[in-house]
Parts: sequence; structure tokens; C-alpha cells
Amino acid sequence: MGFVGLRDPHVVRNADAAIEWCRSAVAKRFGAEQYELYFHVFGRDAVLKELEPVQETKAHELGIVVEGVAATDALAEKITDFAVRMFFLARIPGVKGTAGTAATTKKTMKSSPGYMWNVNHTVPIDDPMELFPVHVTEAGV
Amino acid sequence: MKLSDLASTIRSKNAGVNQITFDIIFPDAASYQRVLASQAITKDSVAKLFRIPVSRISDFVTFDLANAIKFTLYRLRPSGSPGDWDILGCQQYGPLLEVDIPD
Repeated sequence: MGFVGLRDPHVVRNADAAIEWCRSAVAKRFGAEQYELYFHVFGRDAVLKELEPVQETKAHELGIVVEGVAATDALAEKITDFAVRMFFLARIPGVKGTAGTAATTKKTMKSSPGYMWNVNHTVPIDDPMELFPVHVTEAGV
Repeated sequence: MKLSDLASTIRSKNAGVNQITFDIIFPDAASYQRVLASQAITKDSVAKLFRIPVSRISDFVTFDLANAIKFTLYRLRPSGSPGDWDILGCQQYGPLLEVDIPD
């Protein structure tokens, strides 16, 4: 995971364009690799995502967590690092600043391994006691 | 008046890995009945509030005895999947607080 901050009001308004710029730069560089990339835009809709009814943020700055997932730690780190750097380099029409589109931290942080729940944990059974066996043992008699 | 002025508890929480459930609990029958009568919280209105098709709401029930409304949404992906930022679903109730309850 990496973290970037946006403060230029023009970039704040066009955060999606910056994210797209970043995504396509990563796709160009790591096109053949299997990876997933997520952008959590705090200050806008990071917590509710598609459920968020507030469509226009009043925030004057946005924090974006860049989350990269790949087959190995090393590749995930490489892709996430690259994505953060591409955010810094993103070119959006109309931006006055030329030295960097996003404020960034120095290094990405390692998260826990990614997983997706894919086991059906509801087990069809014939007898309601089937999964709760009772064993009676006589002790101290 | 807002829903948060009338309800004593408004919360969201995981209901298994694939669903998030919401509870709106009122301190008395009067405020509960007032919200029901206003039609401000219905299956359709919460779908609209959260910008989702009604088909993503698996259950919507009202409990007169407890002065409570409960509804449950399907997640798009299981809790904890890459990209999920509220793995316990505990902050999804935010927009409900602001729902306007007409007099």
C-alpha cells in the first residue's frame, strides 16, 4: 500500500483523471503481469465506495491509498511503488504545478496477504447434531 | 427533522461475509411509527439513498415490538477481499443519519 495526497484544487476536482493516468501507466509497464490495483479516495468515497450518496466532495485535500495485489510480495511492492510514482508524475490538462501532481510518502507499506472468501461455509446436513458430536466419558469413578 | 434526531441507534455491521446489515432502533413507538408513516425509510428509499438496485437489498423488515427497522444489503465482493476498505461494514450507516423525516 502506498499513500498520496492531493492539494491542488484542480487535481482534487480531477482526481479520477489522475487515477486513470496512473492506471494506464502501470498497465503499460506491467501489462503482462497479473495484478490488481485499487485507489481508495479518502475525503470523497473511500469508505462507502459505490454506496456513497455524496457525489461532490467539499474537501480541500484528498488522501488516496494505493493498494496493489500480485502473486508475490516483491511484485506487489514493485507495482504499488510504481503506481505511487506515476501519481506523482501524472499529467492532467490544466495543472499549473509542474514539479509533482501528488504529495507522497517515501516508501510503500506492506499489508497482510490478500485473499477472497470463496468457500461456502454453509454445510448441508441430514441431522442437526451431525456437526456437534457428544462424547460421554466416566471419570474418577 | 433528521433520522438521527429520532433514532437512538443507527448502525451497520457484517452479516456473514457477503452481506452488511443495518439497524435503526427508536427509543419509543411514537418516533418509530412516525418514521414508518413518513415512508422515508423503505426498501426503495434506502436503495435510492445508497444508489443501488433494489435487488441488492436481501431483506427489509420492521419490528414493532422492538421499535426497529432492519435491512440487509449484498456486498459486491466478500468482506476482506482486496479493495475492501470496510471489512466489518461498521461505517456504512453514515448516509442514514442525514435522511430527512418530514413532519
